[in-house]
Amino acid sequence: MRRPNLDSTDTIFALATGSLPSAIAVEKLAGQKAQQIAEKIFRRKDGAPHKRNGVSLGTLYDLDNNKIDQALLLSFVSPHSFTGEDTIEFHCHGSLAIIAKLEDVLVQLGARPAEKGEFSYRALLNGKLLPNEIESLGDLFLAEQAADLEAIYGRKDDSLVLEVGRIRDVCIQLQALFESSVDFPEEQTGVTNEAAHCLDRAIHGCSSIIQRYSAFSWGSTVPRIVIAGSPNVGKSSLFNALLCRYRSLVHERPGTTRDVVEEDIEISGRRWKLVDTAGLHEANDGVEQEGIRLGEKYLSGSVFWLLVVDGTKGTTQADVALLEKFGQKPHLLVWNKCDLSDWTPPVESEGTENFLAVSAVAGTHLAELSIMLGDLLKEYQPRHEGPLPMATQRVRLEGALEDFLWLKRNLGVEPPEILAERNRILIGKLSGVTGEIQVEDVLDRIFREFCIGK
Amino acid sequence: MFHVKQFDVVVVGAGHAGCEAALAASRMGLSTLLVTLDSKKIAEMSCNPSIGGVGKGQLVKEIDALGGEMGKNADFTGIQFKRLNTRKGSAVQSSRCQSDKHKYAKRMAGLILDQPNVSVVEGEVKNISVDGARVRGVEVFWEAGSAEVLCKSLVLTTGTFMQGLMHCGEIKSAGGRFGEKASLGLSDCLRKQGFSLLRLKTGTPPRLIRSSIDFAQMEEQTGDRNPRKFSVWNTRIVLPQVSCFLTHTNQQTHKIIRDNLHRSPLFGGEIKGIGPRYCPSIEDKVVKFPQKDRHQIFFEPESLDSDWVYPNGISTSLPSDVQEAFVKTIPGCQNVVLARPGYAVEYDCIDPRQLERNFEAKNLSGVFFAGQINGTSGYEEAAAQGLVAGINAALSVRCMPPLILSRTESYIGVMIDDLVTLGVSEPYRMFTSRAEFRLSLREDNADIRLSEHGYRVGLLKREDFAQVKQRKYKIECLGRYLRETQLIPNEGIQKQLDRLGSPQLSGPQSLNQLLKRPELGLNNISQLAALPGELQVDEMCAETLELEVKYEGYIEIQKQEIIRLQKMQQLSIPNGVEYSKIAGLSTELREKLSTARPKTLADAANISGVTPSALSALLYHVKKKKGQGKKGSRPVTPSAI
Repeated sequence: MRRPNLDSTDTIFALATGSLPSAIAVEKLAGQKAQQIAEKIFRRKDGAPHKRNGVSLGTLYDLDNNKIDQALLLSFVSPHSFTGEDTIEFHCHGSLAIIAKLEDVLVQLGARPAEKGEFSYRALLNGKLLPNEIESLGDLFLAEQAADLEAIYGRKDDSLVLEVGRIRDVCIQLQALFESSVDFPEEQTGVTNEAAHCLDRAIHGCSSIIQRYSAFSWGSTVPRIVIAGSPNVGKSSLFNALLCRYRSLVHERPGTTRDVVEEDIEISGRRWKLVDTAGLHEANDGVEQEGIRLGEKYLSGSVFWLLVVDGTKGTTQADVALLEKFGQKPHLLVWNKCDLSDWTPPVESEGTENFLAVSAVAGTHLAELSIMLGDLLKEYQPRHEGPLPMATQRVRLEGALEDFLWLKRNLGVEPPEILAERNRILIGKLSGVTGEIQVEDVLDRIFREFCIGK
Repeated sequence: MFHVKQFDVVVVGAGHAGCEAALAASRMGLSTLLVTLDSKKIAEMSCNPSIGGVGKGQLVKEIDALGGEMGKNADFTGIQFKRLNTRKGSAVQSSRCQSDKHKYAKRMAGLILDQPNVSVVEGEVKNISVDGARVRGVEVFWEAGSAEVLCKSLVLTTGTFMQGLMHCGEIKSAGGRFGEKASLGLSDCLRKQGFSLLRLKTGTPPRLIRSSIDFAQMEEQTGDRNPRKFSVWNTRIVLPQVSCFLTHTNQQTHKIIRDNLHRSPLFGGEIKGIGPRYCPSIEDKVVKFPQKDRHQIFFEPESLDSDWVYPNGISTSLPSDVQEAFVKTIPGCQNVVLARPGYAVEYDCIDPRQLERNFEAKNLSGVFFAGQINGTSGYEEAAAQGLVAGINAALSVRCMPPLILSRTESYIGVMIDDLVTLGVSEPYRMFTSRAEFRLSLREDNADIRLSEHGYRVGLLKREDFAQVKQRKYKIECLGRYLRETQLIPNEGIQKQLDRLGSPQLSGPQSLNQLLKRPELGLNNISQLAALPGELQVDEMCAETLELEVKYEGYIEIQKQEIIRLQKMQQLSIPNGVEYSKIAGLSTELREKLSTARPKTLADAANISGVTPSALSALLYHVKKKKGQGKKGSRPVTPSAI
């Protein structure tokens, strides 16, 4: 959307809550006419209009005085609102018909639907939010796991600026090297060695910040926990049992690839993919071989795996083979079916460390399993060894890294004024993080990349 | 002394800035008075006898393109021409010449004395008279007395003369140049008018007698075999070409200097002014770079008709006996005779942040400043400012809009922008690195970039401007042809490419693409594919086109950047902005911005400490202010959710 064309004097509205139908839906109306519109369509029980400041219970009517819904009305008076303008929130029942009718009335009364991000944009215009706060808000909406929140709230703009500032200093040093050979041709200066050294430092600095960002859920692939074992040992039961336990936190996502099933699961505040490999060593025909190959691929790509063993039978040859192959990778032995009478614990040779007696079907010790998993997986929490860059900053840093690598390749190949030019552009990119110029494009990007539909 | 006591423009100082200013104003048809302390010293080269250099050559070309005199004068009086940075990419190549300094000054003085509308008077300006916040005239003093001269515009180009104080060892003497007096009194007058002043320092080496030097012990440095002149107009290189000589200092030289540092006014604390870091005195070099066991010295002839040599690289303010002793340790100088000792000079200049981009004082209409008084150094920097100040002084008299050169179109614009927004902390010298758009701001296209301005203000003749337009058109036509013409490889072409050391073609390719190859020039392209006769271009056009093609990618990026910068320059910040009311600004920034009162967003971005968030806060404040009172007319779009 072309932001400068938006008329900030319009009164705008939008549905603030999720998809309909729902228990409650909140319709938000902001702008100069908000109070006036509310007075026309809302009346309290005694027929009085809503309270200017605070909460009112009453009824919503259309322009022909037909009831739309019973609703709660929250009124915020300028400048004490999110956008800084007069704002009304209608808390209605989350029915498609009610919301459609309400919005219809709002349009008739001269309000218009908000563009995506327009409420935030107005907050910015009215000095209620700063651009970096808006961007943090953008990240907040994208955050999927508890750990992300910590990183976002702990984000200190200043410390990242300092860090990027150090990289920028290296760049400026580099620039000085290139420039000196252009502007002082009579002095013989050998630039290549020192420049290469500078570049190494800058490349290291840049990539470590970028990596930090990719540790976040929206910036990376989600790590996998794989359930493996022989057929009929209860892998799928365990898979379902674990998912069931965390059901409230699980997202419905398509993830079935051949005979490998994966689902999202949250453990210790972090999102994981739980993968059920439906039997790793079951048959020898082509399709199943492919299945085995795929299962092993998942196993080798996992950060943690569970070897499920039928506790009534003990480890199989296939299990031994798996342990040989992936034993170095962090794992847990799940000695399943402990509810059955012929269940026996593992013997010495089968590995008694990190084992847990469980019954996936009866639900025995599942709570212990989840606690144990939580403890074991704690160390796979993303580690943040520094401030987290915001998305626009990361984009700049990625661009900068590309330029650094180009410079490294072309040192001593391209003439110094071209190296200098590339580096100058680069300094500009870093300046976009640390300060100076390039405002307009920062803002364009904020509003292009983030849909902040409030 | 003169009868008319009223002029359109008065120029104070007849150095490189003053000469350009006086010529520009008078050539634009205005009655002009040039006031100088010594009319025999018009256009004197006080320091090195050369014009141009890296970054400076570009300035000279721009002066030339605008209709200034420096380039032409350098051509007619040059005795060695050299292109610098030829082994690097062509975009940063710069021209430099050694000048016969006497002929240089003589020709320039002759032009001024012959120029209709210009009167030259010997005297000292001690006072500026004002009418409110506007200049009324100047008070000129000479031996017989003083008189007020009325003017509509005043251009001050005092060089190193304002409160000039020379140091040579323990000896201090008032003066702006060896053997000349200082201009006293004007500083106080400027202070009274509310200007804040700075004190800077510069220096010059001793001059040596040529016949006492054995050049056989030095390395001869000849000029280019095919010297290229500065001016694109009708000039010629007419003087015989001579050589320079390179030699070095040695440990013995450094020992003498170190042993006598206590006698240096620079290290003894006598000199308070700030000197240029890029052009340090030899004592500075010895102290600051103890690990270097030698420093370069270029011996440059001062004139064909004089026996003086300028040793470039040993500027000094040590006492003259020490100067003589250390110079004698230099190979070839065992029996050297000093014609004149080197010295340092301190002088007053103004903080250039008090100026508008047309060099007019913000607080005193009609007063323009140019040259070292603005904190710069160098003949080229001075001349460029003098030209711009002279043009604007004249435009102001005519009540016409000023000529503002931007940093996106010229080195001169870069200099102006740097001076008026950032100020100076040492004498300001042009470097190519100051010009972020230098790949587009080249010597070869200075005429294409700027001659329209020169024509518009009346300094270039119609036929001269037509010549540039023609050149531009030819380049565009050939450029289009190269982009649109495909070369289809055959055996002959592949063989030719082999011979040229260029990879063979794998399929048809545009001539433009081919020209991008570093090893191929336009002459090679015309061998590979015969160019139509009507598209033949001269060497100059070929150079411009080649550069445009080879740097295409970078020039494109720079163009984008220029557009963005121009947008920010167009975003003006209203005068009455109350920075204290803008949310999201730190107290420190509020103060900084309130003091600086930037006119555009681009200016604000230039202030140190102004971050993107601060700028956006400012931007929104401004946009919001502008948006107020505007009725909304946007149609309702009910499908947005």
